[in-house]
Amino acid sequence: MNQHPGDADDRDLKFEQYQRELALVDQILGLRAALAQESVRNSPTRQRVEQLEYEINALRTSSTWRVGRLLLLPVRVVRRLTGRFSS
Amino acid sequence: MHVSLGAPSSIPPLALSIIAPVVSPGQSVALLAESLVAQVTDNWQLVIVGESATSPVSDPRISVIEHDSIDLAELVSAALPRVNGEFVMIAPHDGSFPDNAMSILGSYLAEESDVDIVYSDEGIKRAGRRTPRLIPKPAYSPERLRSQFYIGDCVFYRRTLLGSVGALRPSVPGAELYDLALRATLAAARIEHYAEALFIRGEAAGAPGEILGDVAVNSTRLALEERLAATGGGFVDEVRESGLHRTRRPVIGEPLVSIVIPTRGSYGEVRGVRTCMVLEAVESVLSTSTYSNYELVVVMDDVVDPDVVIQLRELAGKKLTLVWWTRPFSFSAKVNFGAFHSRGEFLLFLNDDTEVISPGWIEAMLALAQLPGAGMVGAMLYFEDDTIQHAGHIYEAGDAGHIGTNLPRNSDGPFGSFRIDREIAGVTAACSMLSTTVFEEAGGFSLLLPGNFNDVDLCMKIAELGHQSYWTPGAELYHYESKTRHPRVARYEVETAWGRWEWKLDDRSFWPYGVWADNHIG
Repeated sequence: MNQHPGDADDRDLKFEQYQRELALVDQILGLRAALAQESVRNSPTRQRVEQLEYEINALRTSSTWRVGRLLLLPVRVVRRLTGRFSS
Repeated sequence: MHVSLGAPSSIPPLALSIIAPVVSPGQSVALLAESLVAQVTDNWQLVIVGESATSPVSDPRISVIEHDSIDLAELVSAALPRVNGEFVMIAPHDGSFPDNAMSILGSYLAEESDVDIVYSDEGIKRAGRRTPRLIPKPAYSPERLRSQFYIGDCVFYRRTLLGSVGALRPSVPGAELYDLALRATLAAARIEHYAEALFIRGEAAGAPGEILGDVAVNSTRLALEERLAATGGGFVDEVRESGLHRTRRPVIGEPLVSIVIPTRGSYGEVRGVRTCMVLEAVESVLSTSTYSNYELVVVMDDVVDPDVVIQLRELAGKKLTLVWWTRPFSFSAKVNFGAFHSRGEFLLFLNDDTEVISPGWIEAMLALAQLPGAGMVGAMLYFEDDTIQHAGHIYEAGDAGHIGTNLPRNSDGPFGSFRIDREIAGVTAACSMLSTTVFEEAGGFSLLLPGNFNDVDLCMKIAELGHQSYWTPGAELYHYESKTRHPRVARYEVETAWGRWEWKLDDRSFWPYGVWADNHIG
């Protein structure tokens, strides 16, 4: 595929968005795993559970998360329909 | 689920019935009956049935039905009206139970009231040896079950379930019990494996790997065909006398598969010849694969020799999507970058130091990746010297490793495990496939694990989301591991991976055989 001038910036921006969304999902799943680990190792204190739940909720309600999901939905659809940004 | 002995229960154990069909005059049920009489609880009933049925022990819990037949299905049908236990096992005449088996199973089933089928590990007597050989079993594995009757003899079915599926069928002589397992597991609400040997088979009984006769082979084919037809389709390519059958799922449609290959364009030595690894890998994909609807998404460091790029373009032509990685090294970010540039419904991650061996490798992996609820699908990888590098991940004793490492290429593995598609806890990213949707649902490869354990982490995340991973010997490749990169494990990677998943790094559910060969992931 040919890469057109100006594509690079757009590509970088969209990849940053994609990566950011993946990273947020990863962090949420990682925190859930940490919470489960706490439960298995020893009964976690109420405070620790609340702290981890707070972190998960904070990620879920962050504007990056919500905006990222909205932004990426059309990006994914268009990318799959029309091709990719590549050389 | 994979369960083992817990705290003693205060709930009375459920009543269990054992049916012992006697199909020839020489068969003695003495061992079986004596082992039941010796049980520490009395929540059991033994029904001996057959033309020459007699009880070697006088006990009110043992009943005898004289029935003039040598047909297993008919004998079991004759016995079922006399059964009063909640759960029923059809036992081989020469087996025996440890004295706490009925207590353990009856108590477990009383507590887990929604279980419809429970099966346990077994032992098998060995000539001249005092201790039986242990037959460990995996957690319920429906895909494995279509290639191997791994559930074995010690299976207790809820009596009402047996009634609803029609117990044994005379139309499948020689494969009645396998057929029952194939049908009943589809009707059961919950199936559990109890990870303790609660039944000892006699020497004459068949272990996994038993020899089937011609009649049993034909019956097994029929039973497997019906099972596949009832569960999304598939093919029975060969029913083997060894009990390890070649069956496969169909590929549905012809979805685009994006083969993502991260590379530095490095050279290495393969069989004494200096080789550009990525060119070798791509050439093998192009020349070997029978599946045609794929694209090659090569994520290349911008330091690569221009000649390599020219050759790659010539080699792969329109199949190639070449994207440049200009950032610092991170395997995870690089592969995520490849996924971002992929158009496929499925992603196939492939290291550049691999070489495809089996023509149908994509189909073998894709058919499993298309199963409802599928997670990652892994392959059989060999070192250059034709020893096994990877036959799935093992997570045991707080560590992660590869199954099968350093065993010869033609090894069957424990109970034929290297010959059949099977459920697995995780697989290496060196060659693995999953749907793009699942990849994104799991947040891709973690940026917190740039070099190591990112595949373990991805498999764990995917499992936590409720997806099942699989491994198939239908995809065989060479993996010239460490020829392009020597792994250096950073402390923070260990802390991150273990900080998340240490609690899951002792999971024998789908690999109950221990460390079959020692090698750690790193």
